[in-house]
Amino acid sequence: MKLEDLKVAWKEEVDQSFRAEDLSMKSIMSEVAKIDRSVRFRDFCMISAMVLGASLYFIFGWLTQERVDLLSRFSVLAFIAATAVMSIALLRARRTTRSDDWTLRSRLETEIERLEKQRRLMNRVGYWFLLPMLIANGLSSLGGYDVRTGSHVPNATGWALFAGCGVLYGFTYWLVRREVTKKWDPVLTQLRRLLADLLGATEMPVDAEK
Amino acid sequence: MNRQTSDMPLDFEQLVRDHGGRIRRIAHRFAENGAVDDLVQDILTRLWRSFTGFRGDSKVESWIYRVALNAAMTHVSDTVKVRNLHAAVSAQSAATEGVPGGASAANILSDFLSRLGDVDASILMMYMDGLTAEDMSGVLGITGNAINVRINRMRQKFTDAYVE
Repeated sequence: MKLEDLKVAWKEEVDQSFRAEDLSMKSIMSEVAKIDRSVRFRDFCMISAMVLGASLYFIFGWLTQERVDLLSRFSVLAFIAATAVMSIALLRARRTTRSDDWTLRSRLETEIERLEKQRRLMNRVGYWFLLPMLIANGLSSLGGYDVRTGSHVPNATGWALFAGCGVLYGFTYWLVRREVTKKWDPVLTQLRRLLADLLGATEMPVDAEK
Repeated sequence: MNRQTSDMPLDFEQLVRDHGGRIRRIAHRFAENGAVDDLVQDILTRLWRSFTGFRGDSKVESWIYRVALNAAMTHVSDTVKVRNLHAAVSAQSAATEGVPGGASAANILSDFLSRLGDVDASILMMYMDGLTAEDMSGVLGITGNAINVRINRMRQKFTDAYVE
């Protein structure tokens, strides 16, 4: 028997594998709509939550206050800037092409690049989102405290609050890092392995194993 | 845009009717038993999405393979552990077991496909479907020469495993 002799068996299998239920245009259309909705909803939830937080902070931390000191103003602006940067970064990192009509190599390379971008984004979230937010919280609290007491040095409750925020932000950072390590890294490894298999060792791009 | 080339179906339903078996067979190779229907659905969804952009410049089979392989190989996030386990088991069984004498061609084909890596299995399926190295190059994005080399290796592997 030769490899070519299997062509007949393959054709028979293909002919026998068709199922009428695959031909359900309604379910295909509904699946397309469902995917579109879920992607839009996910982006909407994440970004609107951040925008809502920044808006509330702006309204209650600045607009409704009779006297807003410099530290509080700086804090509100830093919060808004961090939210804007995070929203843009999320949208850009999530942006994927809708074309499935690519070569497998292009698709794998694009998918790896997209995941690496998201991975970098998540790995750095502590530096350019959580840390600035923590600083913004601290500055705002100190500003408000100064307005009430005339001193920038907080009492024990203030210190406890800062420590609590620090722990909460640290925990969030740990959760994000855990998600990257447990979920994204194995996927990236799998995709890189596929690309390496596709290209063979000689054609493997230099940066593919970064 | 002229869709009506020699081997181009008139509409999407006709396309699914003509190639549904092929799509299901491809899904069967790449998905775990319980997930074949999901992958078929995913492939059909993607085909529907890109149907409007398909101008018929390439063979319909090439286009289907492009979309199907994109779906099968880039949706690995939910199945990484299962796929790794499956690969390990396949490697183990390939090293220790053979196909019983007198096995049907269908069984041999199924066994051989399970022993191959994902990329080689894709090439074999396309080869079985009569796609040329140039067609496959358009699907996979590697040179026709590299594909021919892989087919020759598979031929040798097949002979070693199944021809006494």
